Amino acid sequence: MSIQSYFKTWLALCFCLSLSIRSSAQSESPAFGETSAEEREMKECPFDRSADAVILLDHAVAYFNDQYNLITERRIRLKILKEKGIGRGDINIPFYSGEGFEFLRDIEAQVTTPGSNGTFTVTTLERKNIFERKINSLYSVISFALPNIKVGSIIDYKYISTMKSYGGLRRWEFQKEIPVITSSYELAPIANSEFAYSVYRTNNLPVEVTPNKEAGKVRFVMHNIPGLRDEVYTASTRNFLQRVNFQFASFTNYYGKTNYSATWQQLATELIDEPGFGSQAKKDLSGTAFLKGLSPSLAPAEKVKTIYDFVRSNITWNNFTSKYCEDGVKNILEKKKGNSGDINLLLVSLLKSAGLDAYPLLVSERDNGLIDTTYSYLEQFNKVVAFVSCNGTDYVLDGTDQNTPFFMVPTDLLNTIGFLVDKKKHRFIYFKDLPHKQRESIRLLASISEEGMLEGSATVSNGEYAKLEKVSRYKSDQARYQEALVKPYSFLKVDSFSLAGLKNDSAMLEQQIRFHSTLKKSGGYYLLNTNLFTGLNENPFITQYRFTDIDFGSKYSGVVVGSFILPASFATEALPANKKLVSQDRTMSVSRIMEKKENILNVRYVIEINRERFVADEYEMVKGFFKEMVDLLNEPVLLKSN
Amino acid sequence: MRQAITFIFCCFIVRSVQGQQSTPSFATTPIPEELKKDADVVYRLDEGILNIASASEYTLKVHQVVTLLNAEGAQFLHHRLGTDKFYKVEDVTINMYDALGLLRKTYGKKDFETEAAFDGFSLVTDDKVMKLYTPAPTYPCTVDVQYTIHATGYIELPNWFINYHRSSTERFRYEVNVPSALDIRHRTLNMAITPQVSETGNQKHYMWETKNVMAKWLESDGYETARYLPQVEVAPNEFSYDGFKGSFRTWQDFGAWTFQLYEEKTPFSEQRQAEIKDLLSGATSRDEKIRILYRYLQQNMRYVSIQLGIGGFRPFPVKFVDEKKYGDCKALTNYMRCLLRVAGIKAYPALINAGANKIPADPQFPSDPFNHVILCIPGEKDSTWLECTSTTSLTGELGPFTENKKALLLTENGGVLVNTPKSDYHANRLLTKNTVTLDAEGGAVIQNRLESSGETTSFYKYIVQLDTDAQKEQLVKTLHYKEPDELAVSAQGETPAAAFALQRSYSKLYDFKSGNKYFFPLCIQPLAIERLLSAKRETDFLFSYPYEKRDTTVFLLPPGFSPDMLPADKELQTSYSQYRRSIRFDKTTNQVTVVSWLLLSQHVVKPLEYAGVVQFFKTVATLEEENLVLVKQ
Repeated sequence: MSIQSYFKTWLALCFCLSLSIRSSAQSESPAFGETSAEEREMKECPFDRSADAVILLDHAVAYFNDQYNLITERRIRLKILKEKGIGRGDINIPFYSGEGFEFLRDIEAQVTTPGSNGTFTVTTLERKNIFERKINSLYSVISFALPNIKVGSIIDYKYISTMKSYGGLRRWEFQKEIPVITSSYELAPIANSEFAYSVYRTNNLPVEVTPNKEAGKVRFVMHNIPGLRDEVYTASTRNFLQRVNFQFASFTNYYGKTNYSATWQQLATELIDEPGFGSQAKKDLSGTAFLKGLSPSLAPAEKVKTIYDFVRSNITWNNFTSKYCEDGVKNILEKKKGNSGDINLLLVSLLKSAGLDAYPLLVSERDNGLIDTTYSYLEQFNKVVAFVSCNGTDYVLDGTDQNTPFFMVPTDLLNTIGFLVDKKKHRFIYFKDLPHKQRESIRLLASISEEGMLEGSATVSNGEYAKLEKVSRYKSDQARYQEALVKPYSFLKVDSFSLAGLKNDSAMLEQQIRFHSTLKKSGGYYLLNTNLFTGLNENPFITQYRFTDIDFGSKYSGVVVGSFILPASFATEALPANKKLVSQDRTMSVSRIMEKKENILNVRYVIEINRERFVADEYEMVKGFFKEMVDLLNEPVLLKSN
Repeated sequence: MRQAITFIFCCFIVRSVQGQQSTPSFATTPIPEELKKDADVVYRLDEGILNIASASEYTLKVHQVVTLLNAEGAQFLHHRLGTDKFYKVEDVTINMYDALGLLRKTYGKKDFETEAAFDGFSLVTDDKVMKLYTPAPTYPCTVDVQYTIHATGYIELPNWFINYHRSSTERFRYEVNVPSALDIRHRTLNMAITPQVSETGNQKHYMWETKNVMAKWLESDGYETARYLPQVEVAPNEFSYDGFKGSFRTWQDFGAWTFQLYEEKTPFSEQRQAEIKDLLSGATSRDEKIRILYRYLQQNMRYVSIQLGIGGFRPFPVKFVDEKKYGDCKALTNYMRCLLRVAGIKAYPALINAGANKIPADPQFPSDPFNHVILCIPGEKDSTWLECTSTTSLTGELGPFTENKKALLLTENGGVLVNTPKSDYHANRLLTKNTVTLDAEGGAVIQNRLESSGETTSFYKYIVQLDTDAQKEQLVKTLHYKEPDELAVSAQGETPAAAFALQRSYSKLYDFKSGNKYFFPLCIQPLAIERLLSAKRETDFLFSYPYEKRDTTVFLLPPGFSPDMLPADKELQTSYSQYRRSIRFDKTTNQVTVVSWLLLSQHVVKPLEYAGVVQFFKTVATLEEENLVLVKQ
């Protein structure tokens, strides 16, 4: 299939069920462990030929029992196609074991392996070779190694998951890292309940949706889905997985019909009174020592900054991301530790208690995928942060974020959509077209000796998102940071490196590098490369195909200004032409100006990327522009010694 | 092979059971200036007491008081304690003090979270880790950690290091109390401390102590840190693990204990023996039999690591591997040994501390530094070594993971410590031939044939398995290929050397042009792919392995193109490496031929010679970045 022809559309459907249900086995599924001649003979996946394995069948039937437990019968059949795929015979099934919410049972597996002379052996997994381990307080994993795995083996395994309630209903992903031939999901909701769903798919991959009102079920099937691999500059591959989302909508019983978040308004109203959410955000903390100690003369923006900094430096994040406050904000203030929901709802309550106009804001971070505003699915969000409005300026604050200053939107939220939770003012907040960019300026000052030795200094200044990115890398490993900065310039020898502006939020991050290098010599010329420290020495877009959108997070603005003093005995060949390249969509440009005045060569490059995001269909255009840009930046000045 | 439980909270401090006298001040002011130099943290006290109760039981009391001078020392706020079935944390208390030495917060065992520990490669283990983060009140601050470990089975005893990497130590003490009848073996490395030894009743006491050890940077890209850090090593004479008793006075002892775990009277049924013999029908020589059986193992079994209890030391039964077709290094090695036994060939499992930067086991100090098992087949002249977890290695091929080591052969007569083969550049060869057909617009098609052996083969075998885009990424990023528009890679058979074919095409191969001069890359197949950072070194630098690479590239020029000035021939040499390049133009065929050759004869570089080697690779990289300037008429 043609991968270039991919483009995304939303196929949104609403389907309501109010009938009683019972699951039934999938009639058209092949019997467990019985493989067809076609499957046994398959040597490669026809629509994804380089795949090391293929999922022949990924099938789930979900229904509720009398105790409203969500039961999911899962069945997977895959085939190993290459040596590299053999590790896929080691199976790990993680599940949510916290407070006994989910358990797995009836795990079975069979392997059909080719032998010599066209024969096949079938081996069964023994129960004693299945292991269960607790990963942390929330998750456990079932692990087993399948017997007799070779290239050509077909693995069939199945299990039944039981979850305490519909709260465990997750989205179904048709697409995986490896290609899938058939993926199907069948849901029979609770009697007298309504579920809504939405399907995300690309245009050329049809999904069959078969509602069966009599049986009270709906079934989703998709075929021939290529694998989705990791790509550079992607916010989240999850955004692009072919999938169906579900939302519990209503439940009818003797007392009548109860709606669950049928609209955004209802969602906001419900959340604002929820004990673990809105009630915490509304807690009055004005009596706390910290707020009492705040100077009354502080301007509102200063107040925002002071409260944000207090939470960031005093409350430790336990690395769990949540939308809810589990322990109550007062407790969290006491314990000084909590999940992201605890911390950010505490932040909201402190801001409100200080008299500021603050709200909880539901967000879906970049790697969690973009939300669909058409449907009020709470499950789409993975986190809550604080939103505060003062004097016409809005601030978005995440108390678990140690690097982002209060006046910038956290990097993890760039190009995403948030939902402001308030009975009256509820609305979507779009984090795009932001005033802050990735800003970079490079000043080069160098001289060249008669012997072709280049010696000089560079001042690399990074502001806003470019600074945040660099600071977080610098903090995690200083040595590696410095190494990465000079790695593309193996010809340079760094004599000194220093860094300033780390602490001051509004200052640029300033890096001073002194360097020297012998100029490259070719064809009787010295080649002077003026593309130093931009990180744009190679095109990051190498691959032929692209499945996911290119998402830079924020816009980019870069300037390189250089002065090179040449020895009197050196002459330049015709200088690389002054030139400006503009991308087809006119949002990206690079310009080069070079001039020689007496023995000083001045260069100036200006790079602008005025779009944060490009859809996958624009990949060829972006890749082509980057290739031309890198070529332009890398074009050396030819010097000749007289 | 089971990894020893690791305490990520680096060093231990041990304190006398009886006294609290060694507790230092928690305020940061009295720290001497010289201890702050180059340090992010200062161990005010690093004290531990090992009380050995019996051959199967000990307690370890640890007391570490660490002052964090700045936020760079923040990793000391993340506490991780490993536990398993035989290794439990009995109690733990952590106190946080501010710069003035005032107690700000206390944590206990209940504050820790326990999780499964993942070693990164095992499917299942019973190792767990207790985790806790204790935030700093401010910097500087002091963290006081005290805990007790209770071991109810052991093979090794804990060794204590002085961690000097960006940290200094004010006071270091290590005390061992052991029944005289058991006693311990001990030594110090990278430090000259003699223990105070005394005896009370039937108990023997050892105590090592030192003060004011300054901070220093550990260099990267060398041997593992254990080679350089000052340390006290202790080892048992007798031990018992999971009910299996053993002696550990000699290598022979430890080998005998491990050997019993591998022995099976009848690993294969008579029918299976007959089937295995059938595989060998027609094989005439011993070498051929080994090759056939090793290939059988590689084609039928896969590596899966499952380590539970004594299962960390005892292989799965041969029958299990035979039926399930998987196993870990011990199980696959033992399986291979038993296959060979059916063929009448004797072989021994060999314990080894695998890893290119691992230091060989010391013949003088029997201990258990091992993390892997391979197979040794003794021969009349040389032994044949087999890496039984590899599906691609050739018979007798080990590679940098296990070369240059001491392996402990497990024999019927106990353990025998022997050398594994030394790394040899002859074993890692890459021969390439590139034909570059240029077109009049400066585009090109490049046909490339490669023949390789050893580690260079592993790389290409891996590449062949990837999808095209991933192949492109690897070749551009690892081998510094110029990014091709199209690429095709295929394996071309195995004999005698592994061969591969690559085809690349470029719509524009030249880097840039100036007037009618086209600057093409001279080097289509860079040989020097290392990018070394120049720095002075005090310790050995390690390349992954030694190698030899030879490339012949022929540029077929289109009509109307001729070379400008050709780059000069070059020859470079250090005592570790050599490089040669020659360039010729044949006017009659309009071809430019570049022949280059790079040799890295040894992979361990002495510190004094490191700068020369860095310069050598930089120069070669620069030469390889030169252009072939062609003039278009």
